[in-house]
Amino acid sequence: MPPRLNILTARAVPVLRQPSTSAVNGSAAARRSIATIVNANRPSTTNGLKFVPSVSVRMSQRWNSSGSDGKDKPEGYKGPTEDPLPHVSEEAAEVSKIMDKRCDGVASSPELEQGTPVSEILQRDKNAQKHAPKVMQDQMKNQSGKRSFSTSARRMESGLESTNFDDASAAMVANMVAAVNEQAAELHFGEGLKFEKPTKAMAKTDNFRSRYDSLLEQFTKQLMRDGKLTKAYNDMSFILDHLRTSPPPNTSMKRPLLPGPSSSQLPLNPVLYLTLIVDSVAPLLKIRQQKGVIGGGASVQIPVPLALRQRRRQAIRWIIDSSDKRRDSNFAMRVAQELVAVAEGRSGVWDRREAVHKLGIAGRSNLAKR
Amino acid sequence: MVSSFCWSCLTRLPTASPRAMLPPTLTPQRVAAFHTSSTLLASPLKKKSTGNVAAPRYRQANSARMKKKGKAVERARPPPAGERRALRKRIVLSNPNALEVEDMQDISAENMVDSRLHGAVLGLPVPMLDQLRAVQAFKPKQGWSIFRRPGTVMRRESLELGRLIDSISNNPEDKGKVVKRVLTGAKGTGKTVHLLQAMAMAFTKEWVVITVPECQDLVLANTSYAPLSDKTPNVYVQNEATAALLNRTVTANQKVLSTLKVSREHPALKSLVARDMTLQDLANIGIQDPAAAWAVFQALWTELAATSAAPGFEAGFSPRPPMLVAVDGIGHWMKETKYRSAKFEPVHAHDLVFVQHFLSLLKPGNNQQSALPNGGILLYATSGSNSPSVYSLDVALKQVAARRQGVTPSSSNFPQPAAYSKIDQRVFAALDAPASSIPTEGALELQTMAGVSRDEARGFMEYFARSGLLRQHVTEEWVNEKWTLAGGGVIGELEMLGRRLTVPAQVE
Amino acid sequence: MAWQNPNGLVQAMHSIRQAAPLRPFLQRSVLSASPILSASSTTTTTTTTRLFKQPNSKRSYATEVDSVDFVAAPPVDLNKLPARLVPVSPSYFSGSPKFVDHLLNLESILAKHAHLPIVESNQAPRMAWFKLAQFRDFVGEPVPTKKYKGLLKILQRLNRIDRKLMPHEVKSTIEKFLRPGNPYDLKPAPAQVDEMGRGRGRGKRKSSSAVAFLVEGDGEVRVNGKTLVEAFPRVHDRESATWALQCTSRLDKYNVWAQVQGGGTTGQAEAITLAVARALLVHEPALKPVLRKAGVITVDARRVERKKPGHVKARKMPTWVKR
Repeated sequence: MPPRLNILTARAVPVLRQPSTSAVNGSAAARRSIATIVNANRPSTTNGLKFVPSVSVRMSQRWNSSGSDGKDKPEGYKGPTEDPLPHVSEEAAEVSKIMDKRCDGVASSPELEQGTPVSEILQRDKNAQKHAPKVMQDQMKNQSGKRSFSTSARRMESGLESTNFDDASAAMVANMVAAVNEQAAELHFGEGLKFEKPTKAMAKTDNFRSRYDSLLEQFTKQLMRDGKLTKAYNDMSFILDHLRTSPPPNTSMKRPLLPGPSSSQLPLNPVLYLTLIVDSVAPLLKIRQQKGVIGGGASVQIPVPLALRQRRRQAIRWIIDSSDKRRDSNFAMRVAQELVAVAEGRSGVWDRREAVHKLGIAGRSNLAKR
Repeated sequence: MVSSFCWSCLTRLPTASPRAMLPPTLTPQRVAAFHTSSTLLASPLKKKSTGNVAAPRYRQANSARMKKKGKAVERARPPPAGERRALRKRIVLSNPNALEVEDMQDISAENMVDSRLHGAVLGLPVPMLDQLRAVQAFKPKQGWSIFRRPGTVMRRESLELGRLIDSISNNPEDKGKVVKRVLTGAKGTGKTVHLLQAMAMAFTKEWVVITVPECQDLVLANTSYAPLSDKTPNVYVQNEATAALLNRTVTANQKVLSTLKVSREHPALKSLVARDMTLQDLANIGIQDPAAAWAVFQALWTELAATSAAPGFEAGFSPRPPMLVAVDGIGHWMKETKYRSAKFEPVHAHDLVFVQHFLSLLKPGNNQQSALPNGGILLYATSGSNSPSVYSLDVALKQVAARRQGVTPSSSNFPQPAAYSKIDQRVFAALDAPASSIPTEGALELQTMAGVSRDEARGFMEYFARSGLLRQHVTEEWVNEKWTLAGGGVIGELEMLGRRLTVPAQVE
Repeated sequence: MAWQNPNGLVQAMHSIRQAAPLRPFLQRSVLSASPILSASSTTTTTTTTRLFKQPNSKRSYATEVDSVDFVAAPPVDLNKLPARLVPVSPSYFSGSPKFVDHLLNLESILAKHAHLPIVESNQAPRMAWFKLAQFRDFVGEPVPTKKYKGLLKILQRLNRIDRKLMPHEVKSTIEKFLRPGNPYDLKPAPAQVDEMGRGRGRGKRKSSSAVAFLVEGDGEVRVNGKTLVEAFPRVHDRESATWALQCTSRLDKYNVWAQVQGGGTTGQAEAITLAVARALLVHEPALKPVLRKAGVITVDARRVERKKPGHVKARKMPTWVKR
């Protein structure tokens, strides 16, 4: 089976986007002309293999660029949102190839077989498109996920007017048709649903109380002063913007960050950057002063291991404390600069971490006295 | 000791000795209730020296004050004066970390009318950035700093503007056409960026661009002012601000102004103007000598508005290009300023000759000349974030819209200020611009900016994704979601949503 | 000990006859078949050991589980002294015998039916068990809170047995622990979309209360007549207000019209969250599990704690001064 090469038809159906339906005031004629020109341009983008003017390819690419995979893009444009790892199914294919020792290209399991999607066939074959089932034709015509009808309040008024039929039976038939349609729609989506069932699995961040990354949340809460959480969120976004615009850190050999992407890639993923910084300087333990173990009122220093959240808390605390010594009036700016300093190994936070670790090593023998 | 009373008439002598010298009487002296002079024998009570017991100061608590125990943080000294302001006003136009969007086009003469680019993000040409910076087209908080290079969305309004600029420049039918617009709209709807796009398009067409980037600067009493002349003590001129305007204009339009020559005598400037001076040199006079700035600006304006040369100057005359006049934040020009007149009354903004000049352009031109005789566009924007609430302006803008729709001022549908409200007649007068008799000159119109459409929003969001700032798949559904969260596609809010980071870090 | 002298024995017998369930009987006297005993053991000529160790290793309980027709014991022959009195219930000496009997009964039923399939705890019908005070009245014994909780746990577990397969024994047993009149039966009728196509929901949070109307549309949101941006300048609040629609990917399928009053921005936004989620449930009841997981139909009942006299704030006390 030949490999599936779909340059422009990858998102065969979603490529056809609906023209803008918004009715903003202004010159209607101009708007219409824009819309028609855009529409006129569309056929060349959808089956644009023959007709390839530079602009229209660029346009189609812009339309395509989002949902489709990077490898489907015509000019090998590598988007930042692409996953560096191959797709799961590709990985599975690889694995099965190795495991089953079948190199003739025959799929070992049925889910790896690649058929040709119907939408592709329809795309190719105009005749088939014409004779396609009505459902598919409708779908192609209207793929924005919107309903073909509206039940908004304004529509309701006209609907009410339309009940003034001369013939009452016609109204009854219309009602019945509407009811049947409604039932059909319900059957389609399931009991008690009007639209498609949400498919995506619920992640932890889909809960509205825990919508942020856990480290971001923790850092933000620790940035908060006088209970002003909104200001803390603003500070946090300033810090992330600073991380994203400041030059990539020159990580020092002596005090490296935790293993992650190379430092030049860090600014484009500020949340990961921040996580790496905090986790790198987070102490592994704390020193507990315990009295009365050896008698005589003297206290011994006992190292206690910390959990991840505790470690992060300590690191954030140190970063904020040492940022206070910086010469800048803006709190968020100070913290942001301190974070970059930590990433580059210049900050005093590293010293504090080492001091704690040294004490911990020295206090190892006290663990027995606990 | 000599008594201070005249023994013959029992009145006080005019040269009274200090009261303290009077002998104290033993009986308390009664003072008549209606007597207004001070008690004669009130001996100056000397306050007892209270020692170390300090009385509480005004509104100070009486209780003992404990010293706070919090540890003293060693703070570094605050930054030197001016540094914070510089940091606040700094405009960063590039983020080297962001990815270069490969096939992004620049605004050019061809693609500013290309409707296929509707919804795409067009970059501003790099050589033009200096010009745009000179006219202060960028504002600090517009989010330029996270992208590789500045770019703007070609929305419907931008394309329409592009077509307009193109037709005024190239279309012989539209030669000399004047379009006057007041831009309004909610905060973040892209009014200032619309001005920026207009400037960029005007620069590509080699127009003369004159801007007032921040109206508030003229009314805050930050720049010097003086009466214009002895004859008009109530009209004030701001020389420094005018010199700054000339500076902006010259820096941005150097290429155009250096090719144009002086076309007439300027009696106000007398010997300063040579016969075949370029307009750039003319403006430089005002920059070097702010005292002459206003006269120079007027001279420059008449030169730019000239359609033909005066007799004797025909030799070096070349036709003047159209002009773009962009003013941002006119709300501040519709009320009293912080300046004070000689009587210490607040000066109305319309008494500043600078403001007067720009507002007079909204009116139809006189003696068979339109406000911009060589054609061009007037774009006056209100501000959503930094604007005083001027009720009269709100009503006046509604009146502008009504007039444009053909509602006559005598009609009952014509918007009127509420009864008993405090209104400023000068604001109504300034914006009351009836249709002009000159065919090329359009009437004043009101353009309301609103949210962008979903398609435009999608183009903008894809620009984020392709700059590497957004780590999500930009799908139709996702864009619709952001469109709603941005209050119906308010583009400033879309920008905030695009740069917002909530995604969990993917740590390997 | 009461039965060590004859006089005391008479008294004891008398008092025991009064208390019906604690009916002891004389070991040596041949009794008519006690219903309790006949339920478990067939012979009445039991020995002391047989009372406590039943032949089929079933325990018998002195409970009110089975209604018992008590027959008065024959007059006591005082010449024949009993060896000792044996209580009906083996848990007689536990302090709260009736409670323990109930507990043992439930445990045995649970052990018997542990293999039956169960449903998720949120799928099981909600039952109004006795409150602690009611239960104490019911058994007439001072039952400790913690022990009653243990009993409730078993009841809940029994309640989770699939209704279709639930044995009659279980059903009848757990029904005894229900409060009279099931308060959870009084459910309001599920709200319907009105004739204009609107689903209505109300929500409260902090001091704010909101009403939201949802119609099918294309993603327009108005809060008190203003757009979302004007109503909530902060992105976080805007996200909160539309979270129910966002997490079900229905933000572009409905229009929202919300009225909200009282409180600050956070309270208003989250009151709208709840209102919108409830209004969405009117349209699509099947979304409830998703919305529950997204945390938008969970009512946050916390309010500002009131200030108390003698305190500076709700909890803060004035500084202690020595003199």
